[in-house]
Amino acid sequence: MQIVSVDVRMAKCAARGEMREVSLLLLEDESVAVGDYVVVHLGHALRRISEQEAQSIWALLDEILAADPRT
Amino acid sequence: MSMIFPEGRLSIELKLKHGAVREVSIESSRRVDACRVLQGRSVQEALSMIPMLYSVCGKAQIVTGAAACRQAMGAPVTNPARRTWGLLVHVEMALEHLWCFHLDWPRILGIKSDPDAYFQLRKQLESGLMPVTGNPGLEEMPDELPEECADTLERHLREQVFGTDVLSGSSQWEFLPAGAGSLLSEMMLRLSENDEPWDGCRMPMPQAAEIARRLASEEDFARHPAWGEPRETGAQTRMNSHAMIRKMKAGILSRFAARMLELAALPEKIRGSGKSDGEVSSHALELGIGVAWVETSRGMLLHRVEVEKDTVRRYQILAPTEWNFHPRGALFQGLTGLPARDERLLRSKAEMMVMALDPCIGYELRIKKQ
Repeated sequence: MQIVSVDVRMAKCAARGEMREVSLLLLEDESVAVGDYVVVHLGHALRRISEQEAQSIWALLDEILAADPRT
Repeated sequence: MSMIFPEGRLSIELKLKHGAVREVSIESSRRVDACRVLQGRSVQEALSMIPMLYSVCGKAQIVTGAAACRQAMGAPVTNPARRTWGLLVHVEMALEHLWCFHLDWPRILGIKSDPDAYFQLRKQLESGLMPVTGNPGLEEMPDELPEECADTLERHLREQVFGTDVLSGSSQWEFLPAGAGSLLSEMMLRLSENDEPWDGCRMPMPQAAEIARRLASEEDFARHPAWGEPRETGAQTRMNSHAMIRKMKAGILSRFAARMLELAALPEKIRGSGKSDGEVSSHALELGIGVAWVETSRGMLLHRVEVEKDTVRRYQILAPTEWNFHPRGALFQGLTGLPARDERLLRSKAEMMVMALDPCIGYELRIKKQ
């Protein structure tokens, strides 16, 4: 997800129209800023990734979703 | 339902009648077949994609994938690889157990905790492992790395968790006085006040090769694994021969205790990474088919892969959440029949049971009166 705003240890992150409140505690030593991409799980940003990595992950997720009859 | 993110969720519903939980429904929207996107790709490409697909227990996923692919390709699992894989799996297990201890349990139990020391530990261990995780073959590591990781973890356990030397802490832990003021003793006190008898699934897990065979032949097995009846996997089943766990009645507290006892033993396991069997197990089922499995903090993780001329033809993963949150599995057994006169208390106990099994995805809990 992409960071759209940062407030001390929390950030708002967006992807494909969905917004999530995310804790930045695991990335405290890294300087994360608006526009950066992070891997998010269960409310925490686990690691920062490049835009290229983010695109690769989304391409994979698209493949998974495309194969899902429920979507 | 529109599904933008494929990680999925558990939906748990309790129906109450005559002051107790009479019906329990557990459904998962997790995409257990997400690993199908690895099919049709080269083995190297597939292995490089695993970290993109799985962020929880990511190191166990990578290691299990590497071991299964190696077996499918007829390549030997070398001793350096075994040692490196063992280190990665043990360190990750420690960090996952500690995440529960510092973050999840305090939230569920309403206890204040300061997880900063945990975040520092996590960064320290993960940066220490960089020379290994940056190496695509995951084969080589500096000789001193296990000792360094073990020392770092041991210091954290002594200063932030057990409040004493880790080894003596693990044996004396049961005698910690309630109300001693430590986070651990406060958690134990709350859990003992809220404990419920909870046998779960007592039958042992079948052999991994047998599991892999059923995974290959039964379409629904990866989603709803069972062996006649559902099975439980995790610290409780791994530690059930420990004297302290044998003395306790199976319940929420015993599952918490099993995790903490396992955690206390992890520095020594890290020092001995690769020297004992069963850290990362793997074998070739037949030519071109490999299976590998590891014990993660949540339970057994198994990969089965079919490879033909360096191309992945079939990839399957069976994760512990599917065993423990089976519609008739360990959580179902714990929740069924719980007293429900106080709905707030019921919700709290149900959340503790979910936490004791620790799903790798989020969940929602609904309570309905009939």
